[in-house]
Amino acid sequence: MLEQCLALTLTALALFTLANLFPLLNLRLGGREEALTLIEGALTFLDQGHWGLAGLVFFTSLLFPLLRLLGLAYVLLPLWRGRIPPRLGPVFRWTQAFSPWSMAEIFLLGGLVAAVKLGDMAAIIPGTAAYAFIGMIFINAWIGFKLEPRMIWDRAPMHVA
Amino acid sequence: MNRSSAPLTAAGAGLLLCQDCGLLSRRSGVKGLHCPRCGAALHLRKPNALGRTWALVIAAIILYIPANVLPVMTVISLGRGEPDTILSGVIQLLASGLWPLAALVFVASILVPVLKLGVMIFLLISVQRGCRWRPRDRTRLFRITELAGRWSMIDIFVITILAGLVQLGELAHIEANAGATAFGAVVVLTMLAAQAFDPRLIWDAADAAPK
Repeated sequence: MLEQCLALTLTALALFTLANLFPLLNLRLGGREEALTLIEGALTFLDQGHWGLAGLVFFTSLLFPLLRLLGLAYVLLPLWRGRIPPRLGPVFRWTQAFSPWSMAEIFLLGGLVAAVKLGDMAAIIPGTAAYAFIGMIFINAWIGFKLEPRMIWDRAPMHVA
Repeated sequence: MNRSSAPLTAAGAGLLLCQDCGLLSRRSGVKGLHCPRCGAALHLRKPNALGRTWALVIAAIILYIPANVLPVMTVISLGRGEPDTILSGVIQLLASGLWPLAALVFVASILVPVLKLGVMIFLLISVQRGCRWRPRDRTRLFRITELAGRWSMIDIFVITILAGLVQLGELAHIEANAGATAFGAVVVLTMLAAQAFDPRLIWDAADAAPK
């Protein structure tokens, strides 16, 4: 369980990096081309003065998915090597708490709806990041399926007075 | 609770269950009421769950009005703007013949928030009135509500991508409007409301001896 989850987590982190480096979608209309990266999506709202929306999108589509994966890597890597990372209990608790707020899969569905909506006015071409993003979502679901939280909790030390 | 047929509960046995990591602690042996394993605050029931859930639900209902009345985005094409509300967005999808997408957006953006608020109000009132009706079904209703709520964010992400992608200056660009902020706040508030609610309250009323 540990080794598989660790391998999946590191793969998801690699795909997430790719998803942020390359454009997610390209739009082609009348000889002009626009590319959109993940972070630009959130920044557009900032440009238009909607900082609340910008924050919401940044947290749910970028920061929380990233923190969840980093938290898992922090917990799983030392455990796999037979060591207990410091503050294992609180870190794993926060990692679990980020899950409902990490909305990468909903972002993807939103992208699909947006692409279809624009379909009749412009050509929409999925970019490299779109494939990396889809891969990351499948691996995230796979981690959710493989990970047995109680096996992590069993290794967490107790702090009793 | 003292009936011999009553089920064994942690609370009845002087134990506290950590809602985050599932550790059982003795109520007398817990230091500062924090879970000794994961550090989460321990409570027999979430503190002031009903009051906090009501506050979040009412705030969500208030914001639900601007979220639906105000435009969520404007498509500006060749200098002409066309504001869209959530509902008009769904109608547009229907008019273009994209009924599966229209159904998806309708369910996620209109049906789920309304049902979620309705379910939370129903659960709050039923718990407050000590209702003993179908606790198992009400618990299931709560779980579904808790899981489905986050999918309402889909409309926010649609607007994110439309506004980010369509930036062709004079030719066409898409701007987000205040309705989208209100709608995002409704989604966040209803998610927080579900987190503030304690489904064990449903069972407290159901387990209480009949008056």
